Amino acid sequence: MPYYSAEQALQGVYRHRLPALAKAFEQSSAQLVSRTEAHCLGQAPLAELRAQWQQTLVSWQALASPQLGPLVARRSQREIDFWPTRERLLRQALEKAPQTLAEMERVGAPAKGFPALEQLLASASASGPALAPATCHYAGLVAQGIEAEARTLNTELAALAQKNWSESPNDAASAFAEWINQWLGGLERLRWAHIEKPIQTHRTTGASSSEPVAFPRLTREANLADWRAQWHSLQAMARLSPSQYAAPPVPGEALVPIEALLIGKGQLALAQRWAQAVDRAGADLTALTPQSSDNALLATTQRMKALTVLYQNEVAAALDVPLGFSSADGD
Amino acid sequence: MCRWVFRLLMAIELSASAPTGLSRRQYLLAVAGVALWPGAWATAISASATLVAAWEADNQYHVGLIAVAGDSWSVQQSMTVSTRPHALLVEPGGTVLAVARRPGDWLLRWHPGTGQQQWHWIAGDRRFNGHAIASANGAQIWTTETDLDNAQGRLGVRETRSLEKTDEWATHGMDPHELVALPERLGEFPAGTLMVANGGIATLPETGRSKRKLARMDASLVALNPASGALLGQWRLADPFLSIRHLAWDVSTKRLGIALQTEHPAAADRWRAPVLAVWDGARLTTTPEPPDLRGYGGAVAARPGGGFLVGCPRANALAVFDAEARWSHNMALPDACAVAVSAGHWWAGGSTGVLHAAPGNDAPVHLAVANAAPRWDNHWQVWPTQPAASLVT
Repeated sequence: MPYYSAEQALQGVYRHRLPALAKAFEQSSAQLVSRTEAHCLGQAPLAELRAQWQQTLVSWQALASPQLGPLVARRSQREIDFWPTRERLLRQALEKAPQTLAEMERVGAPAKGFPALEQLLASASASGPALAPATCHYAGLVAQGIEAEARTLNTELAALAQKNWSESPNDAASAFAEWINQWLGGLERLRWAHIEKPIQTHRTTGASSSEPVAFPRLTREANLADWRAQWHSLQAMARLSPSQYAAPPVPGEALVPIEALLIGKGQLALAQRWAQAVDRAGADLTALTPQSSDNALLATTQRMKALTVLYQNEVAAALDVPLGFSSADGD
Repeated sequence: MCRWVFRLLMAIELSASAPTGLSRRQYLLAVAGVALWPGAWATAISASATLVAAWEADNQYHVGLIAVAGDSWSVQQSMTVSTRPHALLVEPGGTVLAVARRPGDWLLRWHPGTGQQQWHWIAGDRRFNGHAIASANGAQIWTTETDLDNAQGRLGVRETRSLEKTDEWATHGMDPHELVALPERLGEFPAGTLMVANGGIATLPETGRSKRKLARMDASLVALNPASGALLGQWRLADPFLSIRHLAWDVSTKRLGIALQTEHPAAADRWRAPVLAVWDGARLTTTPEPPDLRGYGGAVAARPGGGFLVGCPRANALAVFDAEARWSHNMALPDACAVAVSAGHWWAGGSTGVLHAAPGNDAPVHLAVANAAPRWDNHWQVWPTQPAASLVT
């Protein structure tokens, strides 16, 4: 395994990983817009629109796990994936009936994006086979907002793909630190914000056992698809594929996972423990089903927490990157 | 989190034999790099106390009571929490209020006597920043928070019993961290004035673990009216890379000690950055010609008799300052951080154990050798069920 510089690692991320994901997200979001329009014209059933919503959500999470570069600078998550949706704001937004994307800029993030669109689709599921015309128009604007963000991200990431990181050592140092920090941020978003916190909140606030846990998405199927999309993207940046042990990523020509960075620095034992910890967490997540109990979900988060601790205490230090807001960071 | 790595000393303890002229304990401390203060061992102090602490062990975060007695310590009671706890507030009635570390989601009221728990989860667009205090009449809890929409600091005003928010004020800066209420008038600021440390670092959910825009840090100390939240005063340091984080009131000299943490990009600048500032009611003063303390003050407490003690884990020292922020000397203590003060006693935690000093005796004794391997968080409180006055010294 060769030694990989920070510049080569960034080329891997920004040239060989993110552009394809951004393009896929833009294409999927364009299909979400067209499916919404078709539904509003009575030419596509609600189930088809919902399936497209989920596919677009998965493509978003693949790009946004972890959030890097323009996703952070633009606050894309807040713009198109604000959770929890504020139902009161969503009702108010529907009453105001914005007509254009420009008018949607006056609508707050808690009434837009993937979660708001899911709420609208769920309300239609409960009340009838299709969205009411006014709701459908609003849903179309929400979908257009997602598409606009996807298009901008694709453009900005395409430009970054051409960046020669070797010419900007300060930019490279900053971007490499961001990647290492944000990978952990992505893991914690999945572990804590998306899985463990909703369960712990449910358990400690007197909610009845019959009341469902308020995970970010409205169905267990959607949540599981979301979590797996996040995990697979994190995993791709963490772990070498089996074939890459024989044919390591070519510096500057492929994504260089964190495991490869460790091996390249001679941290063989740590790289092995890292790979094992990633695999354990991945195996737990793969074994989950929509019917998995909350205790099974918590067991999975424990695996992820062990991965977090290893990353905080050893991996980041081995990569010479200080972690922000971590246990090693004090406060 | 202040790092305690006890296993090293444990390994030494298991294998070491003391050479002639040193007691076994002296030897163990010496090989661990802990300074022995002249006269300390002859004083034969036997102190005990119960401390409220937070720590990480076995991939879990804990809040608990730690008994320090003789030359050992032990966990008396504890409970696990999901994310990292930070400040701990000892409340009347025998409860502890723990606050999640930034960006935090929860408050936990825990009754060690009964094990009862009361959880409070923060509303969607706010996060706790790790510290809380109670109002003098006990009716309110103030919590430092961040508005996730714009990263601006907020002071949550909460009803003590329910912990529900009843009001919210601006802290006039980002990243508010510790806060104190002035126990007495200082200059033009009446008793009860809220002093809030705005750390100045943007913290937003999508930035995850990245500290962004450090070149645009804007740390400040603010004074707020405790009834209305109105801004009464605001002070900034000349060095924009110093984050103002922790506060301690020195009743002897009527000064507010402020522990600092540097975010300087260059290592040489970080290492020699001051870790303490003092506010005298009118201006902020940092340590002149600061020593190399690695630019990181993890906790601050008023030193009995006047001045301040600052835990400096990255310098492996408890640093001693006078009330004008002038550095006096260091006490070697690997990974020193948490400091607790009560009735003239003080205790400081490090990875090789606990330092304790009794009233009138500033030569501390190294009390407790570690028997486990947690990673303690920054802050300790003295648990009042065993008041310091009952300590045998």
